[in-house]
Amino acid sequence: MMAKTKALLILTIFTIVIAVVITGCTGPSARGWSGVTSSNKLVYVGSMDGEVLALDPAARRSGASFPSQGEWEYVIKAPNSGSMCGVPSCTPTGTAAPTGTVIYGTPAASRDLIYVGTYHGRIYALNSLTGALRWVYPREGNETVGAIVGDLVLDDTTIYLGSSSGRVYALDAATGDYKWEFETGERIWTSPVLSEGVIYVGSYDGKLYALSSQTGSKLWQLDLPSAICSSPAVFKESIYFGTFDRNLYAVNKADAKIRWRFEGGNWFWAEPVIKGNSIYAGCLDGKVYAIDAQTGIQLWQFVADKPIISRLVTVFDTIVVASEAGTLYFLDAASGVQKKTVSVGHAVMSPLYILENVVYVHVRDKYIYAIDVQSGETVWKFKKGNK
Amino acid sequence: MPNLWDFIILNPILNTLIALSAVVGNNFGLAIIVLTILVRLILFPLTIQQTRSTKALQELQPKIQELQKKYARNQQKLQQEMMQLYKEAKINPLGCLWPMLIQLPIWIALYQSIMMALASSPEELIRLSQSLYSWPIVTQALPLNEKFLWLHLSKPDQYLILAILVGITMWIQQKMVTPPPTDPRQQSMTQMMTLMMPLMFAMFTLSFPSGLSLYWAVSNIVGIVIQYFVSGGWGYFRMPSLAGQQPQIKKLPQSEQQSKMLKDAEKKKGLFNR
Repeated sequence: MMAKTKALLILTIFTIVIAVVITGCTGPSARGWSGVTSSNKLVYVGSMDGEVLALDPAARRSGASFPSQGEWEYVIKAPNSGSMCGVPSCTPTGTAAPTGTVIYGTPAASRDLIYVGTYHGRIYALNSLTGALRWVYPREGNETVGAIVGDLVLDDTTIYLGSSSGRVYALDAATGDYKWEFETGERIWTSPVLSEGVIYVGSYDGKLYALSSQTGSKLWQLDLPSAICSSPAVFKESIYFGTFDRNLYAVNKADAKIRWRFEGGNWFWAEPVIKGNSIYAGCLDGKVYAIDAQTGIQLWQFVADKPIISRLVTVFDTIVVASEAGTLYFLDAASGVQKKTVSVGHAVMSPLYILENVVYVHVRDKYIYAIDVQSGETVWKFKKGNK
Repeated sequence: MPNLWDFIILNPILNTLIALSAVVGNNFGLAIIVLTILVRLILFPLTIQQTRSTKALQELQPKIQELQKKYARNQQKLQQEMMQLYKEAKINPLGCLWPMLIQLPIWIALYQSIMMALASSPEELIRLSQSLYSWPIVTQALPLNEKFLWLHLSKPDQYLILAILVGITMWIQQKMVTPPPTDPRQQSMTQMMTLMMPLMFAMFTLSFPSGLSLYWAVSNIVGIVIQYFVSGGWGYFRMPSLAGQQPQIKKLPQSEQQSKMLKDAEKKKGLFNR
């Protein structure tokens, strides 16, 4: 009897150990959180299955089957990697969607091309009207620039991006040819920002860099006590960004002098948004802060139900912010007073996008919602494969 | 319940691990090694207790076998006699398992902490943010430096060195503590268990982040060292080249065998204050 009990206990412990080992790698996997962008009356998004989708809002509103005329999809396959000897992988490269790649950055749209950077470290340029592949970088199938998490930034001739290799790349927008690269000390999981011929980029090495957009040469760098976790936002003469020490910084563009810093209850993960003389910043402490852009003094704060991961948007006198719980809050920009809420039922981690008074939300259940800002009603929602 | 687990066990270990990586020069690999050793040292009294209980139980094996032969056809009587034997020897046959059970949550938390701290995807990094203290040493240590020796701690070891190390050290550790089965029916089961676990973990190492594999390897090595000193040698582990040599203890008659084991145990009394 006793021997049986002992054997049972040993078996239980053995099972617990194996279960813990296996479940230890089933944390939140890399699924991507591309936002929405628009061009040519279409909206573009990177799906959580590794597809680039071009959606016609009118067709989606009418409930037409996908793809209707003018719509398209382009599937970016994930490279074979991760698992060895049939053992389930626990690492980033192995956590991709079964067939598609992972897309974090919102596609960048020019007049005739759509650019997408993938977590598997490649950049694709697609014809914005047909979805046909124009070019891919790196050219060779097994080469990568390192995982891309931030957005791609575009000017007339060049596309800029940061990657997990710690490098900032500049590529010819038309051909995908390499122009220059700049190496930082750690991975870059944020988006660069372009302003007046200067690229500003934050790295996990705890430095903010200002680079010449023409040559990639360093104009200045600012050393910070902690790594930069949010993409920088530029407004007038200042750059605003969040760091892992829970601060939001305002820095002079010209001389990299810190003007002020504002401490939140957790990281300012999402890029802050500036309107008028106010900065609106969602924080992982579950609050939205309105801060005076000149002084760094808090104007108001609003407490949401969960952390705020996605970038908020402003529309006239309204701020729209989404929480991780899937609640969209419509707040008065001046006072922070809640006007209304809309629930999309699942977590929102993708940046919000506003187009003609409609806010676009890419939700974790893979649905893309188009919600009217005035009424709060869902104009349409779409998930590939679902009506 | 998960929040209580996070609050009491997981978060303190996680934050200590991250703070430790800052203390040892922004070296997460070194922090894993140091914390694994520290936790092992803290749990040392429990390890000794577990080893003692196991040894005491093993020392009773000759008597148990005797009883098993004697009462082979009367299971009820056998159980009664065995219970009496345990009682006289003041041994709880499950005593060697409780320390293991107590240690288990700490090992699970340490394991989870390493997984969380590595935060190899953006989603994991955000999840990590919800478990961090506002200590400056923690916030400034992030993101952790994932390079250690030849390893990228959030990726598998491509040179297979860790897989081999984990497999071999786990096998040695198991061999040290697993007595050769006296019952032939148990032999294949014991052999399978001794071989399966190291093989499985070596396989996991091929695909899991090397930070985790590093923890397994260090934990095994520390376990071997502790086992070596606690049981005064390599225990039941014999190198393959020595496999042909039967342990001296088996050549002795049962009564002498028992007295030798007791003498051996007596020798170690001073060291472990039995």
